[in-house]
Amino acid sequence: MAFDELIHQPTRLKLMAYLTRLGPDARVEFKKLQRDLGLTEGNLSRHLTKLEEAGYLRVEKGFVGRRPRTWVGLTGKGRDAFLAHVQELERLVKGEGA
Amino acid sequence: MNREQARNLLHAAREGETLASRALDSFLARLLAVWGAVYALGYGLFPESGKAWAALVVAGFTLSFLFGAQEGQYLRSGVGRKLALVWSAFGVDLFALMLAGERLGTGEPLAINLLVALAWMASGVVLERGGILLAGALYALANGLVFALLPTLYFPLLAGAGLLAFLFGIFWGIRGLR
Repeated sequence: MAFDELIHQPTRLKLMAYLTRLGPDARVEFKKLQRDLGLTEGNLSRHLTKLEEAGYLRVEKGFVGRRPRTWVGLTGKGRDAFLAHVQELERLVKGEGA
Repeated sequence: MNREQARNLLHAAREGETLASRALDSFLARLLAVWGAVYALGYGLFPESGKAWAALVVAGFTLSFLFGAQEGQYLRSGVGRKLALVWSAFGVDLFALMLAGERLGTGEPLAINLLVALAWMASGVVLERGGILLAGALYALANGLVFALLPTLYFPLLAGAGLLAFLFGIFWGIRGLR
């Protein structure tokens, strides 16, 4: 079984899928992530904190010009956990598990 | 967990992937609209005017780099860096070809459009999008055929293709915003 209780939550699953699709070294600015996924600032922050604590994401603070920006990227551990979780879901949908 | 719940979760994952694809597509859609407009205006209104073309190409590159810089404020990825390399290389090749065309005379319009096709094909490979790769290959083929068989229609057809690209870019961009 490769079910991951943390990724299992639908919003976090969508977030992990979004970051995985962008590629292994992609980083997305917090506001863009919030806008694209249609989440409130607080909601996104809570999910990011949980995923960062598990080592699935890295969150970096930086500047573009003088403006502070927060960048979010997927770690290798997060990518592996997401792919394994999706594989398990697909197995279940195909009727190979319970 | 039952099969229906798993299906719903997979749907959420696919939705996340689609949203990410749109984030990448919106940049390409804007590029397509800009260069479609350059082609429609250049080949439609000033096919023989070097000065008008130079102004249009400079405007096209300026807008493209502005869009790239804007995109880079929100999204940084290996894919984005590779796309920037592909299109920067295209810019250098285009400049070199224009210089060569000035010296050698005619014949450069086909070469320029084959370079455009090559840049689109490379973009398709970088984005892992077979449709973009195929569109680039078809564009190269259509250019070669029209240039060889219907040379008098070459510029008008390029203007038409530019208009289509412009409209498609706008449509693609608007769809990506939804």
